[in-house]
Amino acid sequence: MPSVLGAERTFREQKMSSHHQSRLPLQALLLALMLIPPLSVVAAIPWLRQQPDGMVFLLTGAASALTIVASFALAILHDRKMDEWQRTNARFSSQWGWAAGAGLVGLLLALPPFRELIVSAVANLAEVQNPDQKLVTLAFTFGFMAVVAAQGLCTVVASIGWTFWKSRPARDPS
Amino acid sequence: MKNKIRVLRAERKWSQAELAARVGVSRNSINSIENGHFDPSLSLAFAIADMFDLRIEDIFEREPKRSP
Repeated sequence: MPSVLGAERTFREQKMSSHHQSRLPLQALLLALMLIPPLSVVAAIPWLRQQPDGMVFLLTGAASALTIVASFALAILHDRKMDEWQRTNARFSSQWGWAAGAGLVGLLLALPPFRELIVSAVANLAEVQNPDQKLVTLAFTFGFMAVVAAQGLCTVVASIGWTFWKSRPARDPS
Repeated sequence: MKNKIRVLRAERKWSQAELAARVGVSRNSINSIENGHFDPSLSLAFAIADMFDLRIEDIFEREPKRSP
């Protein structure tokens, strides 16, 4: 009996191992697709400054789309490997992590050193001397609010979609 | 939810990792379930019961409801 169980375990381990190995190149490719576009944009900032606005928006938009698609695909691959305990962990940490992170940014925006850091980063990136501090802080705040609002909206849409999906009729009514 | 997984596992000399591999979950899952910090789904509870060749109610036990 133990030999049968041992053989079963070895088979399962070999199957899992080969399954994980086959996914590794795809994961590496997706990770590269996720990281390379934003790093390339940052590295190309001096060149992008000399390009027309249309070209800059096109390139940064394409980089963002690549990063988003790759991160979605990576998330799906990762989710398939998780068990229910890990999914519960992910749900708990993302739910509270996102809320805590959003609250933290809101709190940090109330601190003058943080606002000065943003203004100095913008001044360095845009090569502008003495930018309007109020304008930069307002633009950052509105950008941040847009992200939080979009996440809230997408959460509602995803929740409605999930509700419809899980409320569909049974495949086999018997 | 209380359970007898630790005892059943010890009787069969299985480690947490071994049971986890048999039912296809992580060792953390088994550890949390054993310690009563995590309630398994119905399908995982069935898988665990099948592994020990027992019924779910032979392994898991509801805790009495707290009075309000």
